[in-house]
Amino acid sequence: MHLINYKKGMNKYFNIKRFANLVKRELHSNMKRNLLIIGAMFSIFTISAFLVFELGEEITSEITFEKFHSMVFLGMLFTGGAFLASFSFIELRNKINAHFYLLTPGSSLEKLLVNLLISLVGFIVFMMLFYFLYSQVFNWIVSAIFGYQFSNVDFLHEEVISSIQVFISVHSIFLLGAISFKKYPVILTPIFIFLVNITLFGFVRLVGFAVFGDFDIDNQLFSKEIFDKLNLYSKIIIIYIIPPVLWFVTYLKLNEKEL
Amino acid sequence: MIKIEQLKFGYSKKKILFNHLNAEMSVGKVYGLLGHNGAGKTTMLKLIAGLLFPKSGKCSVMDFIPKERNPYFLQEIFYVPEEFDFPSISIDKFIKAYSVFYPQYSKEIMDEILVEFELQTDEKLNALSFGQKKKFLLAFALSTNCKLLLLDEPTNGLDIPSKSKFRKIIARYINDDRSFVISTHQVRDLDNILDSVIIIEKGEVVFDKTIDEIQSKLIFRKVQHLDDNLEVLYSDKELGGYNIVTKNTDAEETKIDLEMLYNAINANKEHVNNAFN
Repeated sequence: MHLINYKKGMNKYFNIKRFANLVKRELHSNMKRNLLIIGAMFSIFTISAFLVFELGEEITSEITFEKFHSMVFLGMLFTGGAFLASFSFIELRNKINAHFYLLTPGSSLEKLLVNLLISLVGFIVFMMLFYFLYSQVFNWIVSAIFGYQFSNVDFLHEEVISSIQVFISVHSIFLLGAISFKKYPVILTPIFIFLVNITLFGFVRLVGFAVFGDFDIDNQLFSKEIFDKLNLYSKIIIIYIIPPVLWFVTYLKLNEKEL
Repeated sequence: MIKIEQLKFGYSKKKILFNHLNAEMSVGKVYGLLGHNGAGKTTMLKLIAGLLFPKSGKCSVMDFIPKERNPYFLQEIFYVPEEFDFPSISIDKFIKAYSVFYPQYSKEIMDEILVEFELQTDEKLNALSFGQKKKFLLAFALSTNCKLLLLDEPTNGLDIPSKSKFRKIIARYINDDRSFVISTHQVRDLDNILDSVIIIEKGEVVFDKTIDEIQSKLIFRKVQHLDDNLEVLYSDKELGGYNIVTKNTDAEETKIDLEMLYNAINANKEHVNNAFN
């Protein structure tokens, strides 16, 4: 006997009301921590920037004035995003609390989407709005004290957009790290990525050596044409393949999580 | 309501805890799950809740497969673990954030139990003592009106007056629609609230009887001397005589002493189980 005949029009994978409740629960439990991370990041940057402006050499390069805020924005997006993604599913890392999370009535899909909504979509939108306001105040103060005039971030600039696309991919790696590592995912995930890259690089060199022998593989492979193709394939893999694949793996891991 | 068939489970391949575990529990009953430390009580509750997955065999709860953690299943069960911690939010905020997941949640019941346990809604959860946290979680569990409540050592950490309040509160909210599975090794805390007793030992159910069956087949009494005429299943010497468990041959009705029953099963389960044949 099913207590509720959920098969009739009820969805065990996604329900908007349940999803909204899960978002609220997440905000109740973890919003303070997320804001602290973002606050700490902005504070550290502000103090460092003012110290550099005061004690460092005078900025004269046009390109620095032009790209300063774009670079800082992207740096903060990647750093903050890595932290926020790593703190996803934090309840699962504490055996004493994990049952609350796993037994909260919601599907694994909904729980994954909540984390994507808050630490990815929400974070990007928040950062754009907040950074815009922050940069206005920053520019006003810096201009008054140091006389520097930095350009605003152009969120529609091609470089910024493609960096955000790469960020989505990096975020998906950290999100998977958050559910895979029981401790310190924010440290262990980059170490793991580094080791995977080293292994892949070594493997490619080994295959190259096995196939081409002592043939000058670098010069042959990185001709303009091949380089362009590799660039395109890398973009496709990074932007369109890695995120959905890693989200799916994260979903499976969440589904299979035991206490 | 709960059906466990030929269930196999172990925390590692070498350390198998349950091998062919079978159990059945029906709706509207309060089950006492007894056993010594490491017998598998908590593991059994976690398997029922879907927090652990069986290696083989079947576990179904209200026709749901717990390991799937279907949201409609989750909104009908509540698990109160032996140890837990809360986020640093107030009772009020916790209730607001979590009660929405349980369609049958009753604010009236919550308020009533909070008053009874002397808890204020503006108190921070992580500032409460362990006993107070437990009282709050028990109150929340009952107010969800879930069909199945799994309570793991619920009286651990409660002071003596709270233990008696706990029994009264559980008794008040028992109804034909909901079941309780209460795991404990403090058997006296469950006096008068159980409908059935399940004892597990070394990953096996060694005793599974209703209170009525126990009452009709066993007698619990105190005697000054052990008489050879008495068919004593278990005796326990204490000051001024012996506590004994004997076969009930005269349809006599005595108050069940759960601790004696548990000790009797521990000492000789075949002997006690034979009394039921």
